[in-house]
Amino acid sequence: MDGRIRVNDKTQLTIVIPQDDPGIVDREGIVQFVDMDTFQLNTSISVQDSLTHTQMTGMDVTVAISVDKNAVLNLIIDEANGDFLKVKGAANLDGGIDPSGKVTLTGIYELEEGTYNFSFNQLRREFQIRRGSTISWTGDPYTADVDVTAVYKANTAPLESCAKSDRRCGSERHQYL
Amino acid sequence: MLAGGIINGKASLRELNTNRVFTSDLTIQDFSFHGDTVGNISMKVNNEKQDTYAAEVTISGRGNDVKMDGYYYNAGAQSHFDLNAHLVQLSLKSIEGFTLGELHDASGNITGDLAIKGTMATPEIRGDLRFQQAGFKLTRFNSYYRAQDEHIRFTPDGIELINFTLLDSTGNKAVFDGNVYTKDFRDYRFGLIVHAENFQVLNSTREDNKLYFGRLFIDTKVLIKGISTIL
Repeated sequence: MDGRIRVNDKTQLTIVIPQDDPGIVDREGIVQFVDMDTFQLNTSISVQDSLTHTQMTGMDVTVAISVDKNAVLNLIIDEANGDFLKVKGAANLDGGIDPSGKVTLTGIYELEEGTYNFSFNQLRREFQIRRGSTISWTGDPYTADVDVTAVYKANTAPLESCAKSDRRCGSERHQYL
Repeated sequence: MLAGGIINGKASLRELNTNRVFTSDLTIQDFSFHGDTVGNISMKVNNEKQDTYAAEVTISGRGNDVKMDGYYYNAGAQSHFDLNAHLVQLSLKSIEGFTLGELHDASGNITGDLAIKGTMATPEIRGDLRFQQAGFKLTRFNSYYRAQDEHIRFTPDGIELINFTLLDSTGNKAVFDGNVYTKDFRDYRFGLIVHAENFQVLNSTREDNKLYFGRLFIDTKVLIKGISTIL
């Protein structure tokens, strides 16, 4: 290990996933009309190869990166549609640049809170991200496994939901896209 | 405009059939590069001694007082130079254009003396350069840094930094200690320790960089090593 970097609480960083490549590998399945408390956002994000290499070769860097739980990260997944994640959470990651210039990132970002702004067929919704959601990297910094549970609260007459489950007719009503 | 200025002076060529001796005395008034005016440059070059070019270059005006003099010995593969650069004061603002937009809002001065010998392939540069009340913005990050009184040393190994301290806009420090090893100023090998506490790396918006922007504060202690070649 060559060092450590700690990202501090005043941080507010935005990373844009470039759009030359489809931002999300598989859009199908992100939106599910499900009959459960929450829905799982299980997908992966990947980006062109060129971004995972630095312009300089011969560097040899490995660092332990920790992120303060009050640091804010915005991840713009689809700029054209306006899809983005805004998250806070603690992370312990290992980042590196090997002598060939290849950039690597491994580790888990555990989310404390956040929102997922999502657009689909003219619909714009802000989902609240549940604590315990994770974004994890297994090498490629631009291929992250996003395992986020998000909830959208709506004030609609939940007749059908009520019919199925009394539990959902409490003070907080959920609607799931 | 890439470069600007007004050239004045005279150059004379003698003994065209034999030794081709020349003397020149040129001045460039208000020399500018990428929009930043460096100052007035005066160049006196002669080769009254065969295969020996004597040069005296001064940069003045715009807060600059730089003098360089010495010789270039033309001897085929053994061509070499022997120059002394005396920077009484070189204004960072006036050389901002040479960073090709990577730095802006530069202020302060570089002072120091350098002895430059050797060949083009393996120049030997020795001496110290001191950054005094220097400040600049890294364009990509839009973050402002200051170096109040810091120096770098040119050694046989390359460039040595001894606790070279950058301050961010609120006075938090990033300290660079170690060496950037180079023999030819094209290939570099790093052996640098960077130590920072709550240092602001980014202070940018989408206009500065489309891929990442915002505010980023870090603590770090990292050893940067490895070889880098400018492609």
